[in-house]
Amino acid sequence: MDLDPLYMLEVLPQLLKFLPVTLLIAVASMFFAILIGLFVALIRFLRIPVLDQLAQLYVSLFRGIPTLVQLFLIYYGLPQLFPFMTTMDALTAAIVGFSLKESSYLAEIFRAALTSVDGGQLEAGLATGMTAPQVYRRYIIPQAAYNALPATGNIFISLLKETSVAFTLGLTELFAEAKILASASFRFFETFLVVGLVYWLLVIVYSWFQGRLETRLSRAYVR
Amino acid sequence: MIDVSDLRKSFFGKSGENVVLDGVSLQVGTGEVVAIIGPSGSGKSTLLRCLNLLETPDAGSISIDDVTVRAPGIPGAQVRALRKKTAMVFQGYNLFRNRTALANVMDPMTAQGTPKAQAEQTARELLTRVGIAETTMQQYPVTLSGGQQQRVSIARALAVTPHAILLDEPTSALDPELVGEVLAVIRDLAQQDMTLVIVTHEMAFAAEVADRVVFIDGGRIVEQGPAREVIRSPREERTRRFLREAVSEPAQRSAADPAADAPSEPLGHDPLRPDGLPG
Ligand SMILES: Nc1ncnc2c1ncn2[C@@H]1O[C@H](COP(=O)(O)OP(=O)(O)OP(=O)(O)O)[C@@H](O)[C@H]1O
Ligand SMILES: [Mg+2]
Repeated sequence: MDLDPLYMLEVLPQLLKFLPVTLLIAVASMFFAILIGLFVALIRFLRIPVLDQLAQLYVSLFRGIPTLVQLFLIYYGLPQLFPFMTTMDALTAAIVGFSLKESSYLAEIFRAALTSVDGGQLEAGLATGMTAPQVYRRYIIPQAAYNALPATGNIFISLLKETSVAFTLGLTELFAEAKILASASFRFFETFLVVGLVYWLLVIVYSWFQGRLETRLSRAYVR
Repeated sequence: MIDVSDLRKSFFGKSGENVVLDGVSLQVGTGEVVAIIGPSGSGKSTLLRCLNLLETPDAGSISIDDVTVRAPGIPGAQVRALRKKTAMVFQGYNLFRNRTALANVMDPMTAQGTPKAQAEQTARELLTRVGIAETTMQQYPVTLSGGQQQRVSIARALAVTPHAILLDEPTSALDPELVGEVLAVIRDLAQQDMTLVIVTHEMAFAAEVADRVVFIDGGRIVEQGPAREVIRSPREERTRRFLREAVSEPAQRSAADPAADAPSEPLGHDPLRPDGLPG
């Protein structure tokens, strides 16, 4: 068997140089996905006419088209229609693509989470003279966020790993760098094993933080 | 002073129009305690919820203190103005679940711009008044008993210094042994001249605490008068039938109700306590 453990140690620091790119794509996409997802979820939850139908179409569209196709449409397709978009770099395209895709999943998660908050609290707030936006901001959305936390965490974990398809836009992130190193050294197994372990470790570290957050927030919900 | 005039409200379902309030007029004087009784589905909750516009009436007018609204087409600013005149205590407590007991009482004040320190001091006083211990104030609603939750919700209602408090079956969701502590708090409010409108199935309590009892059936006020009179010797046949049926329900709730000291025998014998307040 031909396995070079020393090479694995050598290649690790080289790979880690590209960890920030991967993290940037994941965190930025997640940030925008949460904003868009919350907006779409509120439209659907409040059943705002016309916007609700558009929101349904949005969710169905971005959940229905494969991620890779979406990224290609944005990066290679859109500049053909809108020439000013040729200046868009691959990083921006990746973040836009992932944000749209994940927001469509989050919208459904958030909507379910909003639905599961006991609606009597809205009436209680209104009855003491609060406005509906006050009640949403103070009570409904925070409780929905707690309900949505586990599912949202799963979305982030899958996003962390899915950033690896960004290499197809010519973007050098963790996985793209692994491919480059592997084809130079012909040490495919070692390189891809190391990069796989890096992703795995990321997921473990993130899960640990999420677990702590859930415990901390559960104070108000578990007796 | 609450003045409701010719209030109408229908719901529309698959089977067509369901007239729930069919021209209800009602006055409640300042400091008066009015109990609303009536069979299930008669429109008691809907009437109460129209008073703070959680339900939008189809027609009629509502005056509370110096705010008057006329349905239909009540502007948003008037909706909020009217809501600020009352507070509501719900059957299911409806506390804000992500906030401690103390914060639940502070929030209505801070939402209206009261400084935090002042809101906290008032909230502590109110919670003490409804019998919530200092250590309990930092607990979240899920960790409180039903009786504690309902007392916190009464403190929350008092926080906005309302002109009147609307209570919709405040003890119906409670375990029998917890009813007394909540009724005791409501009795205190009544004695301190709060204006109260209470929808209740606790006939003995209504007879003891309310100045006036209003019997609603089919979306209309069928009979009203001094509490003891209506409950002890109703004039209308429908009221009589309702009270008979209300009494024949299992009476274990009143029996397990030490603080209210309600009679354990059926109301038909004598619904009034010997030391009850004058009706
Ligand atoms: N939001 C709603 N939509 C449709 N129908 C409603 C709604 N709220 C109440 N109703 C109907 O209005 C009628 C009166 O209801 P309401 O809750 O006022 O009765 P209630 O006297 O409070 O009864 P209970 O003693 O059971 O609480 C019922 O027929 C009920 O089904
Ligand atoms: Mg009711």
